[in-house]
Amino acid sequence: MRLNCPHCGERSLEEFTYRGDATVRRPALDAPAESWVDYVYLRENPAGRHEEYWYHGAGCRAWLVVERDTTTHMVHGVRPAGAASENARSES
Amino acid sequence: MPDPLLPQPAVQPPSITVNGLTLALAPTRETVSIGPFAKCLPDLDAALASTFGVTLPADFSTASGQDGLQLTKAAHHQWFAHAPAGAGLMARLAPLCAGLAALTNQTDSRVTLCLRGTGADAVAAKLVPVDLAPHHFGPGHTALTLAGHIPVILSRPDGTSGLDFTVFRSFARSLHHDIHVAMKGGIPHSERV
Repeated sequence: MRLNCPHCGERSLEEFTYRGDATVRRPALDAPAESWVDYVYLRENPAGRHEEYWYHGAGCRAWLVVERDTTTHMVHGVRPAGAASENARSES
Repeated sequence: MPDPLLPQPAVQPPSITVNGLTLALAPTRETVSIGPFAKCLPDLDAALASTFGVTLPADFSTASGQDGLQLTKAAHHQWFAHAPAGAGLMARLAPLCAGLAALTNQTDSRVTLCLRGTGADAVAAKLVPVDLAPHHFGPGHTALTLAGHIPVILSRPDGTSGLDFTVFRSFARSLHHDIHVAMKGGIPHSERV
């Protein structure tokens, strides 16, 4: 498996670490306990396109969002995580 | 009583030659990491350009400026400034970058192993997974990648054939061993010209 890092170009899998589901969002502070249980423990197991965090630890050390099809293993896109994260902040 | 700390080279011996290839420890340079604050990159580039005549390279490469300064992109939104030993790099950068970037003295945190000689690319290709073809990885290019299992900043210096491996000092002996083994294995027939 190869991922096309937006900073480094196409690199092989051993440079990356899977860091979990990129679609979960932190609930509001006053959200009910059920929402926090969902956020902390429950994950979807979709068949098809899914967004995941990957960390390019042996390269540019950036967090990336990879859109991958869980049934075909095809990678549809890779982008920097900053814009997608709940902790988004602008750079430059 | 604990033993006193003595300065030691990161690898011994500092230079080896195998099959016409040389692997040598580069002289220690002053190194400062530059982490620009949010939205400060344009002002920081202007400050560096006015003093050293060089700006932070946007892609993974090394740019050379005045007084021996070299700027290498070292991670996403982070750069290393290198200068020859004794240049007083931190003292020169600190007033320039005040309020624009976080500076950290990284001198001696990493060392550079220089692989030189005919076939250096073929030997390096046994360890690194990036394409080293000259049209793809030419002079001045750098890549953050793995050499075997060790993270390195791989760069192709200007004006000389070969490759530089910049590595954390504590990994230098392991990397030196790996490159030495690759050198002793020789150049594959498929790579000979």
